Amino acid sequence: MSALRACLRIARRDARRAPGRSALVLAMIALPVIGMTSADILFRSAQLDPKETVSRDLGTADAVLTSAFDSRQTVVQNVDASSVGTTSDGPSTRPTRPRTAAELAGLVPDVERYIVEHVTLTSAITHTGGQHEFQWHEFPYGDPLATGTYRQLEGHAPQTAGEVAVTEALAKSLGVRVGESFQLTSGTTVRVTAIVLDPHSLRAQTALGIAGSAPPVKPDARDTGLPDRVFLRTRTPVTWPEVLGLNAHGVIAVSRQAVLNPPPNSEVPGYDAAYQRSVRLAIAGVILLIVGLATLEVVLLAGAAFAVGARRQARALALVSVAGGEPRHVRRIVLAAGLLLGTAGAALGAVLGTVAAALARSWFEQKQGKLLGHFDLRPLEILAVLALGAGTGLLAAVVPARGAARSDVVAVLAGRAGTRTTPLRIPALGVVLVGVGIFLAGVGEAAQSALGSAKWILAGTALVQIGALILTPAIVGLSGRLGRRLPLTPRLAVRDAARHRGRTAPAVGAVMAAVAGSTALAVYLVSDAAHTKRFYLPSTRVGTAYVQFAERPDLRALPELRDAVARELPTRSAALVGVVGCNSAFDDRCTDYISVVVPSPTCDAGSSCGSSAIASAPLVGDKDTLRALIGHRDGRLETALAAGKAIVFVPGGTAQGKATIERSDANGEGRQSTVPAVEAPDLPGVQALFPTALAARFGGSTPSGIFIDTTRMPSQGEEDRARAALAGHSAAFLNVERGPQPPHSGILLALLLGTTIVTLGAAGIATGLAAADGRADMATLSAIGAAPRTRRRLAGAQALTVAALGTVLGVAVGFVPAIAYIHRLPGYSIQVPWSTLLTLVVAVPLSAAVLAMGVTRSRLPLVRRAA
Amino acid sequence: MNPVLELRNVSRVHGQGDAAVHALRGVSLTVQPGELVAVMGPSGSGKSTLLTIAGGLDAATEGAVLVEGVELGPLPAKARAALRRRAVGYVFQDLNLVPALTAAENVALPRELDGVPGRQARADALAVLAEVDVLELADRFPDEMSGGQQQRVAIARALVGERRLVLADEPTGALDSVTGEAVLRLLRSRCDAGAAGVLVTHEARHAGWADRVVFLRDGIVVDETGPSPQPEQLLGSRS
Repeated sequence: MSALRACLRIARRDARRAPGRSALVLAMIALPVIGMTSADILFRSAQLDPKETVSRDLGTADAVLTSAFDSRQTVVQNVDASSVGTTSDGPSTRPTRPRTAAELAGLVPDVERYIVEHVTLTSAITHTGGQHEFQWHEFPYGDPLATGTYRQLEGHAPQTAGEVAVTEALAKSLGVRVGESFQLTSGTTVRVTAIVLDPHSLRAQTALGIAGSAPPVKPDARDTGLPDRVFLRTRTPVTWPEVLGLNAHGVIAVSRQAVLNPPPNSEVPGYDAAYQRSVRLAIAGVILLIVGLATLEVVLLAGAAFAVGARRQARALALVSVAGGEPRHVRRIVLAAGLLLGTAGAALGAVLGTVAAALARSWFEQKQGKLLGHFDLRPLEILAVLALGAGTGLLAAVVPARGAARSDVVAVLAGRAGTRTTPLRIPALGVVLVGVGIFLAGVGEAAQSALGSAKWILAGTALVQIGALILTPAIVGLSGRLGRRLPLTPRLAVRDAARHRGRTAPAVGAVMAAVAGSTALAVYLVSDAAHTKRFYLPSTRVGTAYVQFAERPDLRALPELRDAVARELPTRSAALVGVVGCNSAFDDRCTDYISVVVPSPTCDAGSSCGSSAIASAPLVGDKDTLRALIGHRDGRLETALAAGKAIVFVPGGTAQGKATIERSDANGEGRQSTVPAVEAPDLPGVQALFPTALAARFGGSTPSGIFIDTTRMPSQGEEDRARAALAGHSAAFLNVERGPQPPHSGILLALLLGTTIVTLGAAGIATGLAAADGRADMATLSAIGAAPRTRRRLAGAQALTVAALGTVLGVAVGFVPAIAYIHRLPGYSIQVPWSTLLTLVVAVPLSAAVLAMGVTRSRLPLVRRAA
Repeated sequence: MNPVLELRNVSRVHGQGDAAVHALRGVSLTVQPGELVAVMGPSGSGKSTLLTIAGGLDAATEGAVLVEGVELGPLPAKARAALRRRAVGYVFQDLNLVPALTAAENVALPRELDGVPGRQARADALAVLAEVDVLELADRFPDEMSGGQQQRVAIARALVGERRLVLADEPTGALDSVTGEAVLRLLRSRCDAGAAGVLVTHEARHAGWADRVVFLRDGIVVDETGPSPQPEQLLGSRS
């Protein structure tokens, strides 16, 4: 015991004597612990406990009922109705519409009283003159039954029909405060009496008014079709069997009693234990992978730092042996340093992580869009994270401790520093693991289910990583043989790295592990982006803005509306378009579908292939419409249009100057006829443009919208202003086709940044270690006339060696899971993220070299003759 | 009286074949309690090797080493470490002390490693620090002490507990002559109090403190003398 105390004392004092190195290790261990602790607390806080759930969902009500859209259906729901489905239709005696609030309340015995939440969609004029759509809830949130559902931040609950409470998000959108008024699009004025918060959705654009306060459906509002929610106060609690009974009546029910005392899973219909287990397993697998990778990184990096420490205190450790210390004592001193710094780092990390979670709470709520539950710190889980952190420190010290315990005391005392070179062997185990890992990833690629495949790919990836780590010393050793033709300093660096594989390998391994992860993700992200781009179906030509009418427009106001919208956009030309026959967008009786028959489509991927995203029938218009559609004047097409011919934009859509048009009714029965036509190049979203005369053969033309051809991509501001110009035409929607958006650039950047930090850190540690080892060599170099800058150059070359080896290996290893995963995704092809990889393999190692040169003193050391 | 240290025909060969280096060749030496033996010789003569073998830090290739009558050869490394904790103390030229420990902790280290309770180990350490007249340094760290003070603490550590054998390798090499003399006087006084000492030095005047001087050259004992040797005369023709 006293021996252990002595070991701990030496470790503790040594940690204090090398504050820089200790701080580095502390930070390395604390950082992931901060991440894990805060993630755990935020994750747990985001999971509401049953009391919080009932308060937000039910207020103080005993149950909340919502009708299914079709009340003949049977509802299948879980206890808190976070997952709801419907099964077969029930008795046909019930109405197909949702049940009314009174009908719902009538289904439950013992109802004392109830309140109703009814939702309408409406729009108002913002303070900037734009038009803004939001939900109007008729809901007395001030009623005792509703306490807990909406939180009133300021003001008082509305009392009359002309008053509303608005959510913070809506207040911001409309630009109003408590006591101010805003105008609905019809001109009706509404006064804001309170600002409220919806705990379920901080971004909700909601106004809350008293029952009957919602604006009438025309002209201000539209019916959302959402069934009412009914909050019930009952004399006896609503039990789970009663909930199931309500489900059979096509009612979704959340009962206070059932949420607070959940029934066994066996009593919840549709509860799939196996599926739930597999989801939990998959989540656990991902967490394990992330935690495992983070631990591996820290073990490798901190391990290298401990190796530096052990090397620097080599003489002190030798003196312990001289004083009668056994190898186990020496091992314990180094291990104690690991345990000490691990525990301190983990404790620091846990405290900072808890603080970070508390500080990040409101940011996280905004990000999530909902309020978190109570600050849920689970001591056992934090303890587990703490233990993991402390264990990481201990684990990082294992290899250096073994090395220190085995060192040759006499050699160390004689100043011969015991640089033992390990024999160069290719570890068969590493080769086997890499092989098996690649095989498993291949199995995953071929697996049927996504979950099964992910499992194999993860396992395969882990094996490849471990195998590559085992192989790292051998690869480092081999690299030494390639150094023969290099100039002096890089040759020295490569040889030094190869001779001291014990310290080079962990640093290279750390870089490799980080780079492998980033590479895999980067390859996936760019492949995904390429896939999205390749299969992106533009609604119409990219750069075009178009307005769609969802309501029959006032014909006289149309030219003015066209000009008003066109004014706000970088317009080249704008034109009104109609649609052949009736317009199903606002005419419920319009069930016809008119399309161009294409016998053998010859469209490429990425073409709309004759889809009609804009309208359910060919468009109708003149040469201006044609110009706005295709973006330029075309004499041939304009002549054809003037001659009464249809312009067909589907490849292969015409034959011998004619196109076949099929008109199918609601029953799917179609009649075909031919029209004179010319074929134009493929135009996404539009099948054909008919001249008015030709449209007359198919029942004439109905206004469909406005097409605006732009000179450049409209800015978001221009788009917003154009949308505001549509104010008053609440049933006209503006779309701007912006083409596929480049995704994930933020993630790529974050990956690159994280990997760069790890690489620079690893290269720095390895270089520091090499400098500690190489003092005698430097003195020799100095003695034979090496310039002082040689030391800097050597440090730079050493950092470059570690970083370059690590990044190149990492890229190679990272491609394995990426290829396996992407291969099994239909329609994906492997894309190489060249810029990211080049940065990783070239720029980052060069930065590491420059950094190492910058922080190395150029003065050459004088080494005293050892005793 | 039983000798504290006995080397019987000890040889030490580093490496094999053509690369073999004979550091010691058939060296025999006996050190009695109360006796200070100086080992002299030019660089590479095997002086330091003799000390490392005597304390069990290194093993002889041939011959036998006995400390307090126990033969080190057959002992496993663990038992040799235990022997260093209980019977043998080293003093090197400098950097003798573990920098992270105070003087008292440095002196107590062998005792603590041996499982002696911390309080007892500290009491032992303070006692021996008092014997070597540096009790006031007990709570100082090595970098807060002068070279001479450090060597005194090192000698205290070499003698803490039951230890009776001090193996000193150029203990004054890093000190000025006055301090060096003081350190040797201390070593002499500890031997007079019953300890046995082996002092490796290449300075004849230091050897003057010893009861006997053993001369090594190329790993062989070339001469042995009693007190007041004339080393310059003995080595003059060869060095």
